[in-house]
Amino acid sequence: MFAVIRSFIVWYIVVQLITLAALPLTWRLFVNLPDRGYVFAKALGVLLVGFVLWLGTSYGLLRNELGGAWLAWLTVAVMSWSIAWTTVQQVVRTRQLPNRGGWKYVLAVETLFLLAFAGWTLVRAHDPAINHTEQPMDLMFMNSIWASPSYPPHDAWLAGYAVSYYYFGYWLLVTLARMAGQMPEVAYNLGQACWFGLLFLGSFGVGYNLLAASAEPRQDVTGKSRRLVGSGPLWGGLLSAVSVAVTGNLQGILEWLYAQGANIEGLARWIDVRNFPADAQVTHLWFIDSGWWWWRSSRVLRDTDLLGRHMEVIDEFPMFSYLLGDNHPHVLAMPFVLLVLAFALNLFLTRIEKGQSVADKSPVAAEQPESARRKGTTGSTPVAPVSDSIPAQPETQSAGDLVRLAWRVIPAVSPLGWLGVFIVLAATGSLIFMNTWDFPPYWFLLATIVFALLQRVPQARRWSLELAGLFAGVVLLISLGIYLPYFLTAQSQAGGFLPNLFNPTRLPQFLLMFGHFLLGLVALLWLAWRESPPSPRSVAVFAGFSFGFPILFLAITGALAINSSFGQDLLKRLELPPNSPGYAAEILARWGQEPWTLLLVGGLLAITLALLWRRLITHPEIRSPSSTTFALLLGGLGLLLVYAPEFIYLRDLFGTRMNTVFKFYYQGWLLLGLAGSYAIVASLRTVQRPAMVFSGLSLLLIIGALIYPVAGIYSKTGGFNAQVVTLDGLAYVGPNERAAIQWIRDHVPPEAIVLEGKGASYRADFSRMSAATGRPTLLGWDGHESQWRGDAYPDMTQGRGETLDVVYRSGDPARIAGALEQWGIEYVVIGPAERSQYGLPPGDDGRIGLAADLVFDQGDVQIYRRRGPVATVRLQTDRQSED
Amino acid sequence: MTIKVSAKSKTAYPLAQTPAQLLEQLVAWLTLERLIYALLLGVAGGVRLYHLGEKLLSPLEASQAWPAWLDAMGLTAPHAPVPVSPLLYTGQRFLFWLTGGGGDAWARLLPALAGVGLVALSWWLRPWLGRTAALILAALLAIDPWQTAFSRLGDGASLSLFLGMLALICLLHLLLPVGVEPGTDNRTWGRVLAVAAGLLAVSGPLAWGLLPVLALFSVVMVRRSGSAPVAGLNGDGGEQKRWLEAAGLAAATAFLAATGWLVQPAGLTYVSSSFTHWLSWITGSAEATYSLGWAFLRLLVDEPLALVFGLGGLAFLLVRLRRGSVVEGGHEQVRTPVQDDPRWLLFLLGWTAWGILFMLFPGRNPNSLALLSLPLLLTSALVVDQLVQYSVHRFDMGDGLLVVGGLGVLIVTTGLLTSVFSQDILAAGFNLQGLILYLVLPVLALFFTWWAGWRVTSQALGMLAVTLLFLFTVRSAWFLNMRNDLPRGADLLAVTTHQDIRLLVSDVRKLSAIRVGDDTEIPVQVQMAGSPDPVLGWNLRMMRGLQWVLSPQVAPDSRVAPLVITMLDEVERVSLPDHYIGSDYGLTRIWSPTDLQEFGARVRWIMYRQVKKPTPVRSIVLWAKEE
Repeated sequence: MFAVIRSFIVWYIVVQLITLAALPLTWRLFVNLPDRGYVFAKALGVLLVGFVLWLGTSYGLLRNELGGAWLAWLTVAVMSWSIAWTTVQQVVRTRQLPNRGGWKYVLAVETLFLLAFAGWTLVRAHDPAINHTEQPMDLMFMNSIWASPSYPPHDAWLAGYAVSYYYFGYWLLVTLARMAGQMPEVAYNLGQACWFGLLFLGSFGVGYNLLAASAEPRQDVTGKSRRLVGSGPLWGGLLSAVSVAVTGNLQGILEWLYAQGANIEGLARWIDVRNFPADAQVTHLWFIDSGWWWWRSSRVLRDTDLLGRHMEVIDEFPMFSYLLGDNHPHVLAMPFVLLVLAFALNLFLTRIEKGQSVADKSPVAAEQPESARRKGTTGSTPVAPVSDSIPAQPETQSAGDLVRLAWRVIPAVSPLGWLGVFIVLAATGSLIFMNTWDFPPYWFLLATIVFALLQRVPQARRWSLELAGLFAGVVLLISLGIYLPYFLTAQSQAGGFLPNLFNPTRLPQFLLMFGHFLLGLVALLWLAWRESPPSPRSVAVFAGFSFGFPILFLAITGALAINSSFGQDLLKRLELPPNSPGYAAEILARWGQEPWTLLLVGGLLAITLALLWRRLITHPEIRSPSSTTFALLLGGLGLLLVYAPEFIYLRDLFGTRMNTVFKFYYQGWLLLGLAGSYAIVASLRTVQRPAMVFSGLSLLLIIGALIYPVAGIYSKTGGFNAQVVTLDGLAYVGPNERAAIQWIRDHVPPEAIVLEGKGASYRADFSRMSAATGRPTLLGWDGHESQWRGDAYPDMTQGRGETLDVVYRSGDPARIAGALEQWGIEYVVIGPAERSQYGLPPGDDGRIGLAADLVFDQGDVQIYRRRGPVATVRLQTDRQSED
Repeated sequence: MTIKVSAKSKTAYPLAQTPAQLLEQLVAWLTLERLIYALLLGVAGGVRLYHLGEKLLSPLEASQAWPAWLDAMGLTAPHAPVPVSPLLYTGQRFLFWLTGGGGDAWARLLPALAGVGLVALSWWLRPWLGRTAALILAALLAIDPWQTAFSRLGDGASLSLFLGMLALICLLHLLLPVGVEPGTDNRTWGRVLAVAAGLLAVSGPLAWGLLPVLALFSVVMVRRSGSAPVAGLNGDGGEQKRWLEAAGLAAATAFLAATGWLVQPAGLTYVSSSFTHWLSWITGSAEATYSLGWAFLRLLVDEPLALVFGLGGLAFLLVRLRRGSVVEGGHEQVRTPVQDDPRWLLFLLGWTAWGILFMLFPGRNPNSLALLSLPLLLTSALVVDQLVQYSVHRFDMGDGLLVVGGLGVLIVTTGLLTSVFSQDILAAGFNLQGLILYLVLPVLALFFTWWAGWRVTSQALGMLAVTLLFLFTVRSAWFLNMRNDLPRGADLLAVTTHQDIRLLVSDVRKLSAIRVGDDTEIPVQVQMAGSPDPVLGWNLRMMRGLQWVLSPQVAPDSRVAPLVITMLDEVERVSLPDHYIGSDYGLTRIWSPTDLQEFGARVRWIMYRQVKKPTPVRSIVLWAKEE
């Protein structure tokens, strides 16, 4: 336990130092947020430190090691403090923080982070083993990055090649691990706890700032002045954090009811979640049972092929991910998604006119001379004096004029000018590199907000669509430019889009997933409608759009699929049931039975879009942008994300909509959770009964769904009864293999090839040395490698399987020596996995010992070292140069 | 040919001076002070450059020099060590290229020259320390055991110390100018500071330890004065531009120095390696071979003068500041800025505390000694200066010499007896005569105090202490830097290269000459232990057929049987053909004085740097086919 506490404290100190480095910059960047971005300083700091290290390593300026990481921190700290030096001086002089709430708010934020971080550390310390699902893969990426001294990190499961996966999240995790001096197997667990804290804090931050910004006195349509005061934003922030990060979907409630013996058989049959209640038990235990019952919550959607056979669809949500304990990209990206959301909110809350902004309410701003405030600055803080930066009547006649206008407008609306724009772009672009799926929605959101912002600038209103489009293009181009080194080595499995012709989502399953948030969203729509109702015409137009587009899309693509040769090739994979009249009839039958999700989500989306149309375009909120509008934007985007997989999905190796639903629903959860939480607090404040009813129901369900984390954590940790409380994710590995891992770390150069038997996906006992040391092997989890490499995979792995057979099976020393030399293999491992895989009985080394020298021998693990010179040229380079 | 000179040109451009005039000017310029400085530089150069290549490069030095040599020769080695001083790497690479290969002395030349430069820097401290104190500081630096040791070490420490001190002097001229009219243009110092800072940043791990010192100096000198004394630090536009220019100059200097004028772009990444290395000194993540008491033992043994007078100097400054100006004999004492300004005391205390803290960090690296010795030497120079001033103006030379002489004879006698005592500590048991003599010393001092008064006594004892501690320091410097013949226990570093390596190289070359007719042509396979050993890499660098192997592999049909070098502890794992015979050689020795647990053994080491027990040696085996 002492080691756990020590590791935790060191990591915590590192996070706080990173926060300290980034804090002044945060104050300057988030000038429009009531808390001046304090809550996002940690995520921004982690991102910038990791970004500087990655960029420095990519361009040969830094080494991927302890000193490089701390130099990156130093660079960020120097940049941040020098940029915001005057703000820092003011804080020191006045002894008042620029954020609303001052030190009390800081204390609240730090307490929340500490509780979330420490709490999840405790959970991980009771469930630390990296031994199931894709956890070994995550560990392999972390160790590959850890062991690679320079860019790009090598792929430990495909020697000679760089990692081909969106690995930036792992990079950030390893950067912190380096700074805290924690090995990857410890950082795996500690980092996950830290990321949970960042997710919790980020969700809190968006919720808090939304509500605190709405605390500005504002008149609604009834003419009444409203003001949210007191601790409302804090509670609202907390609700947002709980909704997004902690609560589960409603399947958790069903599981609990069933376990207590409640008669829900009929309900369960109607909802039809796979293996429920078939695999569930009536235990009368408050924590349901000690099995993996919580897994079913991530599989509540159920697709079937035309013969009625199950097709896997994943519907994860954050608490499930953390409970499972995977450090996947979608988990690691979440705090930075929230950071981008914060940038979006900051931009959205920009006040275009000269004068007061939210930031001006801060104590520091109050210390400012009037002249400084009039000039549109709070100390060194710009308050977007756009009017001063744009010509009164811009003559925009050509593309060049438009670019010139954009050149003046974009830095004018961005805090810190072009530097601020660059940081926003770096943060948004990082999503491509962290979890590519997350980039498009937030890229779209940013562009929409720029558009909304320009709608409020009289001089730019006429060109707002073009400028927003230009901005979106620039974001994309610059993001690609910034992360170019990644794109140069990445390979993709994506192969276009396909229509979802046969599997409309069943409404009960959809509601089981999002019901609690949708109720909140309905309350939000009610509130927004009451504030500023859209015209019936616009509602009708958007309804036509939101229903018409998918129906038209499905009709056209369905027709093409049935009538084109390409489509028929694809459809052939779906076997028709006997006596089926054909694919067209199947499509119609399925959609005829289950149109309800499309209708519900499409309807909600139509109303949201109509409300946004009024608020952003026909009646833009020029003076003070409304938090409700931003919440509508979040809700609208969330609805769009959960709506899209109803009719379209990305074609990948699996050929189903599994990944599309998984990735889009994950972001949908975040956005709908934030919008719904805002609506709950806002409607409780306004005392509007219908909205309150929806909000109350939503709140009740959110609270009810908290049974999922509570019981789930207790089940997964075995009731916190671990024999050894540790953060070491490899503590479960046997002593012989553990000693071999340590020997390799101590004696083998980071890029030397250490051969193991061929890996197998999801098998933690295979490819263990490479996953645990980052030393590459010829072929690790081949199923996963083929996913990451796409069509190039067969060529890339040509001859590797045969080489493994030669080394482990042939028993011919000359051939073994030849194979080792040909592939540059320096060490060969024979452990339990190899013995079982290649039928080597204990004590039999397959005559490898005649071709190589035994250098490690403990129990059932032996390591052999090749004879002859060290391989100085990497495998892939060799092969390419020969070609 | 006659050259006509117009009257106009005569007035505009004076005629060239005659040799006599030049000589006259030179004599006028060559003051006693300058002569002494020149002498001290000569001494510093002598002790730093004398037999510079005699001692084999340690593994630490070889890790720096070998990659530079490989790069200079256009060669590579698998998994070669990463240098930690980009600046030294650039310099060594250039020197190796210039000399067509260089050698041990060339590898250490730049640090040695930097060490001499550090002595010279005292000249520019005169306005703040006073002329005598600066001179004394130069003298102390010239013969200081640690400074000399670091100057004779082929790593970046000496470069960092020189550049750090240079940067400090520049900051002094910028922040705390003495005798300069306000508003005087000080751009030259700003530029020198930028260049020094740029070079310092790439000079090696110790630089990161010096940066907090420079930061502390800037904060103490600027913040506590309330405003910047030099025009320009107040943040106006023009000055911001100057700061930006300086930052640009520093960055460009660092960039060019690290990349060797763009020849070796990878040099930039060595900056992060140097930072990693420094962090390992703090965290102890590197293999710690030094115990907690090691640094303090070395301080006591190697630097008695700096220890006593360094700490005494800090106390002296404190007392001086508390007492204010002192009037003695009707004359107010002349006080230098260091003595007069409390910020100096704060700065020196901070620097010393940082040095001590550095010694306490788990890494416990020898470089912590270098960091601590500078402030101690600085304050020592102040105290010695005071003693000298007093001796010159107030001391009764007759009485003082009598007492000092008497005490000196007694001390030398006591020292001799102590040495006997330490030699036979176990056999002779308690040594009564030595104890009596030790007791006589304070009695004599007390008597002298009664006779001459406490002030004179303290001054006399102070001078005596200075003399003796100076001699001890010189002796330590001699042991530490010049006695290469000592079998063991004289080095600052715990891991040193074994003398057997010379024999190994000689044997390899002889075998090569005999078997292939050229002493560098025979194939040599050297086994790697994870990564190539830099000592072997450096010492066998001239062998053209050198090959790094995981395990040796000798083809039975090879024309010339290669020589094979393996680790001794790997002998049972390697497979060599029949008829190969091997002999073992020491590769490295690992030892530090705190390994001595017995009191007597420790005293013996302090007195004679002798260790009776053998020190741990890591060995290798040279295999050759029997012919």
